[in-house]
Amino acid sequence: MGSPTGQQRQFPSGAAYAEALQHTQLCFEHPELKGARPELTKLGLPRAISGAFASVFSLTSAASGRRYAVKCFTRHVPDQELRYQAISRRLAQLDPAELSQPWNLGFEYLPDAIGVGQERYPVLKMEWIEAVTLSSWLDDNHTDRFAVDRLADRFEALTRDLSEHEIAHGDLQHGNLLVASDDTLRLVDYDGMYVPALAGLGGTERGHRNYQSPMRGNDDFGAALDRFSAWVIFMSLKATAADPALWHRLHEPSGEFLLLTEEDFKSPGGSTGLQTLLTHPDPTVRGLADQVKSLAFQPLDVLPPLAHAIPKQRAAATTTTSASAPPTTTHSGTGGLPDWMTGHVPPQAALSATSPDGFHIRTPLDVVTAALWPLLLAATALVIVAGFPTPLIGSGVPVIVAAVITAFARSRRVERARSRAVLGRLTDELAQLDDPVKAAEKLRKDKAKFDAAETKRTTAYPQEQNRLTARYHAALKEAEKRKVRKQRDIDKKIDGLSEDLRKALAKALADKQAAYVRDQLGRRLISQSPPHGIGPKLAARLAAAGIRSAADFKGYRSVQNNSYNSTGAVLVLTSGRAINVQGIGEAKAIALDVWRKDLFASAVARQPSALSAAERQQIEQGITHRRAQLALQRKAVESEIEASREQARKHLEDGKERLARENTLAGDRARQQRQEFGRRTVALQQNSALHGRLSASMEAARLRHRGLSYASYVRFLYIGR
Amino acid sequence: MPYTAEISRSNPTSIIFLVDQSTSMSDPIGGEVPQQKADVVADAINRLLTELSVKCAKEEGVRDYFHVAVVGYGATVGSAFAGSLAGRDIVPLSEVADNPARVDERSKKVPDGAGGLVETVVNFPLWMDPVAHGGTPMNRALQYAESLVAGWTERYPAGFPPIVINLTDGESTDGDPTAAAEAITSHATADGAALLFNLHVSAAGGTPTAFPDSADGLPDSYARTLFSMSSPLPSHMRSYAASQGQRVSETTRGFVYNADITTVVQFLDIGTRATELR
Repeated sequence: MGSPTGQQRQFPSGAAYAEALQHTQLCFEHPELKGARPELTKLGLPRAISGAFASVFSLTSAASGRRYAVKCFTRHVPDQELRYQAISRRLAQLDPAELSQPWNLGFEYLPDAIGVGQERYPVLKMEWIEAVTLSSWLDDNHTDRFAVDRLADRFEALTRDLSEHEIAHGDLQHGNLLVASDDTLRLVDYDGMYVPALAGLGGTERGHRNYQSPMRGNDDFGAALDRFSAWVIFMSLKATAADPALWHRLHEPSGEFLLLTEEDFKSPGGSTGLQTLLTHPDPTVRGLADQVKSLAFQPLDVLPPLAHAIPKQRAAATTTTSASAPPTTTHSGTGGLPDWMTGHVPPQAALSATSPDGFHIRTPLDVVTAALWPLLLAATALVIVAGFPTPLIGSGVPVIVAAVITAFARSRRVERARSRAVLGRLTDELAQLDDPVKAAEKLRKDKAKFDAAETKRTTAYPQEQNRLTARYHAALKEAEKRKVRKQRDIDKKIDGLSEDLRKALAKALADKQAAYVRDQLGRRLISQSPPHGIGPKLAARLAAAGIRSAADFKGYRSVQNNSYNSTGAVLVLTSGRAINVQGIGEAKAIALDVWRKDLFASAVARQPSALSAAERQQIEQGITHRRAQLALQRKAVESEIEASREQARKHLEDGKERLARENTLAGDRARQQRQEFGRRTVALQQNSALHGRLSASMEAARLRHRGLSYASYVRFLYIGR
Repeated sequence: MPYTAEISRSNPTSIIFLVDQSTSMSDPIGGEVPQQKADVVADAINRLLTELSVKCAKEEGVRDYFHVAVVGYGATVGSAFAGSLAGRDIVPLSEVADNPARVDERSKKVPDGAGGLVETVVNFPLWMDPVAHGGTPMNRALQYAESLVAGWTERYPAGFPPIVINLTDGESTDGDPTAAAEAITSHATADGAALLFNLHVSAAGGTPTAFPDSADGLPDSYARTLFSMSSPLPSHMRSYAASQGQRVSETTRGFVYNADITTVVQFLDIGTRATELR
């Protein structure tokens, strides 16, 4: 983003440099650096000081014994060599005698200076300086108001040196401003520096977030780059000089900032730090804080240079004269408030929570009231001494009048009104804030409820998954059972097929024989070869009754006629029906049956004893067909069960997918919820700090208000305070 | 915008490494000179801790921009630190930097400047030793990490969210890890959800893949599962990866498959360059 595309060279990491620097005899060619002794950590590794783009190592030259800071780059910077050459040339042109202090460092850009692995990379060889960072200097010296104030002025002089030569550092911050033992400043880390020769190249970094204007963008690169950070640093130093306690109040021991952070510039309304500075009793602190606040929302190039903050006589006192004199300013009695602050300092700022205690400056009404007391007291005394016969109560009237007038005069005092206004405003502000204790309790409860729900959800998820899997396994088991049962039935049928074949063959033979016998019997007509005792007449009667051949009947039954006590007979047809034929008695029936039986016996004797090959084959084919059908059925069972298995699996997968989807959604919701909790916690902390501050102001305002009592007013009337 | 919180000493973030120490990590991996996977992974962690220490070193020493946990999972799940940090969970980086288990001397061939190579000895600090023993209880490991993440987000509700980096050779032996992974990334600070990155060291073959934006082309279901578990790279990490020559898109995830050792270090490196350190 912002950087030119194309093949960007990859650089070694800080640890890779530290490894290479264990053998400076091998990794360097430069005579000053070859064999140089690196400063080591207690683990015996070269000690690094790292930033976002490079690691710096301390090396003492074996050749000259001089100590260098060698900067090894860990990231590609476009046009790096060109930039350093331009910066080096520009800085070399500066006349040391013209600078406010010797802040610039000598450096040499050495291409291909260090070997790491198979490749060689550039380094920046810088002189080593003994100095401490601005933040650690402040840790040690913030109580020395004079030294801090002097440093603020030196810092202003340094920024003037830079802007006079149209140079911008690009990343002014507590780690790049070092303080030498004589309390003058050194500026280090020129990676992002702007010099006029680089105009148009674009920036390489955006500077430390806690020192930059919210308006600074990726492409900002020019002489005005440092303006905002300069104001931030100057304000921090001046404020600390005015009130050293601010260092502990606003600076966190390990915070990467001085008094204010990025958040304070971005949302000044919610900033405790900025509010503290804006309402500070010291007008310089208030004014500078207000300036920083208003500059945060202006484009970089319209920001005023820091030099405008310094009245000429003070600048002249602490710094060398400069070519372009800062605008001359004259001061009224506003406590050394420079010109530019007029209009920046809110007029009520002094009144707010820091108005002085008690009553001040008597008004004509106060004077009159003060004069009234002795007058009225004297009048009362006169009345009593003169012995006027007034009732005792009457003599008290003047005192009461004086007291009432005093009360009236007190109520007209502007201090009372202001104090009430302050109290009222604080009460309103407090009322608008949620009670942090209650809010914290609510947050805790909400969180506990949410956590409980989350625990339930996260334990329910695998349970749901298990339930799905169990259902799947049950479905598989059921399908398997069904398959076994169906296939067993089919297998039974297949096994029975040979028995079926035998039965079918036997039945076919029996049918064939029966058909032969029936055919033979059918051929013997009663009319042609009548049995004994059956004449043509009887034969004709028999034929009329449907009995023409031996095949047409199958026996007889004797019939007892009880009324005549005689015995007759009926013939039984092949169909099983019995008929009575006139003229056929028992004897004739027996004769017919004997005839038929004889014929039957001779037919059975001649019947076929086996099936023909064709008949046999047909039957066997039938059985083979059946076997094939059963095998098909068996196969169908297999695929039917496979289908239900497949369905169960799909069911499982769908279910799992649905669960996963629901879980992801729930996860998203949980994430948002937790993020929200985070935001609430942060808001709560800020709120609670603001609440504490307001409560403290409230308490102070109450005390002051109580100080405006009747008694103190009476005292003020006569003493004047 | 998420993932823009300042990483500073007053608002540090934590990096939780999960290291697969199952029996299968004793399998060899790599080309000409195969190494045990466990060695590769232990080296990667040790290098990375050195890298972090150098990265956070300032004038007065190593700063606690990060607090680091190294959790091993195999026969047991717990701190994998050796030496004086043994048994500790989340340790401030300055303490980590000062307390390696030991400093080994390793031989290394470097160019002698005359076109040849010369053997030298370099100091190599070690915080953990390679272990390969037991199953792969990835679920338990992720749950362990989740408890650390939950505690951390509670402590620093406004900070950059914690980063969990899981180094594994694949198959979880205690069930599908997806839900446990989801549980980690459901924790969030005001700056965004916790990040989970996965590094798959596999002997299964296939094309080495770094920061893919889809699971297509990944060789097996373990790789695909690990891919789907991984968080999308936040935008500044994407641009850093892009500046390192990686091809990235909006849906690029913090996942590396079958990486050789340089990719391992690079992956972890990007994972930790959470934002510009200031």
